[in-house]
Amino acid sequence: MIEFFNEFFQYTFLKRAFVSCVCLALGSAPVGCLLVLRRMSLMGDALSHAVLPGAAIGYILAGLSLPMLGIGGFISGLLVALLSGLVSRYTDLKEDASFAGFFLIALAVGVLIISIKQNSIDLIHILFVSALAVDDVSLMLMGIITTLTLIALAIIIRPLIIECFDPHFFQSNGGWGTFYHGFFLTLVVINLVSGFQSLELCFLKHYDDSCHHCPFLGRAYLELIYIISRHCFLCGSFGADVFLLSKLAFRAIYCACMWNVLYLLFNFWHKW
Amino acid sequence: MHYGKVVALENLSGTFHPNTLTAIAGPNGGAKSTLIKAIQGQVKIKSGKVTHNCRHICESGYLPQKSDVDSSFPLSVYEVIGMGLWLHQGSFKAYTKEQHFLIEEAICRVGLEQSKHKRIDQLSGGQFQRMLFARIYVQDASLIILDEPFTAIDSQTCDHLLDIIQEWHQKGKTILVVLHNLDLVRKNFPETLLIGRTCVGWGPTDKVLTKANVSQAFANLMT
Repeated sequence: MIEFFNEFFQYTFLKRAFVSCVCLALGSAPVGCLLVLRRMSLMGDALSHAVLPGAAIGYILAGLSLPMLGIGGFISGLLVALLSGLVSRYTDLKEDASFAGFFLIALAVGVLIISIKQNSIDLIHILFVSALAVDDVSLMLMGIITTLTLIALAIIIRPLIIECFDPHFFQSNGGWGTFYHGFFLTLVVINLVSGFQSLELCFLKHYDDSCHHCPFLGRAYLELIYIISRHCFLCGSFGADVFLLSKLAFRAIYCACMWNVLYLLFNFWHKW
Repeated sequence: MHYGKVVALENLSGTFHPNTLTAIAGPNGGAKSTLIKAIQGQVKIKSGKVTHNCRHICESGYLPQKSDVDSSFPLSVYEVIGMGLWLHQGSFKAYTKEQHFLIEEAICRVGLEQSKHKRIDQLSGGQFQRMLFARIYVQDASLIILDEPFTAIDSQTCDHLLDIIQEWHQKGKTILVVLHNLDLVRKNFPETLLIGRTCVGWGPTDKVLTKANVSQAFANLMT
């Protein structure tokens, strides 16, 4: 076992990928859990597409720099989140419907920008990257985002839960419902940007050629960790029992595990 | 008051005097809930004004309709009742001994001793409503607003909750209750505001809930 880990950790990119996955799991799990409780679980998916146009503009302005792509993604993700929040508060449209509208527009704009820029192979590689491409700057950014998320959640968790359980009560007791909702959406977006530093944006997979010489089991193990991290975000599973004991979370863990086993089996079959 | 271009409620002015127990009655779609939201500032009023004696409207205790609450949320009964202390607690403070005592007292008053550590999705409709009453009990606000508290509740629980409302009334609180059941209003509420898109009658219950007034409230909705 120790040999396995030694072998695994002798590659710097594997170490970075591992730390980035842990960061992601710590920050995204509670946010994902709250997304599920607020019945917005599909939003993680929708918002991950909303990041695309900003990342594309970041690429055009600064080339292949992950922080710039991240900042661009953050701005466009936040814009889509806030716009759909506003639309659902002030019109008859429900939040899911307005999200669906805005994220598709964002995705279309993103693809448009990418295809206008002729030499977009590199960008596509980045937008659908694997966890192994994380560099030190991105890792730092992910660490900062995780820390900020955990501190922010510790501060607003009580009002957030009251607002989620009974928004009318919260408002009638002088709570700023809209503020906390917006703040929470901001947390979702920065965690998405954090995830985007290491995980692919859409459900496509590309292996980096540079990692083909590392041991297969190591790669498979890493795949497992980061698929789990991704599911943490979507299902709020990992660490959810620490956060809020909910049957829903247990169900999510079960589904995520089953899915991961299937995925790994498929990977083995594919490789051999 | 408007919902989009539709006028929900118009021509209503008057005062809910301190220490009164008023039922807000009227047909479905008569804007009872809208009125309550306007009083709390959750719905904007097109013209006119709502004023109140509380230092802030956030001193009101509010019981929402059950459909407005996420009853599958993973919280325990104790935690939900503790929410009533939100104004004193803010984001950080833990409950003091006195506050724990107050929460226990509220739990006993509504008769939920057996289920205080249960998850709220395991409660029956009646128990859920008792829990929400306990939360208002803990809040100890001077203005209490109840939005259809007796919907889908058996008669025994209903009597128990009415007792609690009477107890609050005796303590000098101002209570507004939105109700459909006119018999219940006649039996238990000294004052009534009857609305059907406009104010049909406001005053002592026996003078307001006359046959003519009630049929006028329904007729307003038909036109």
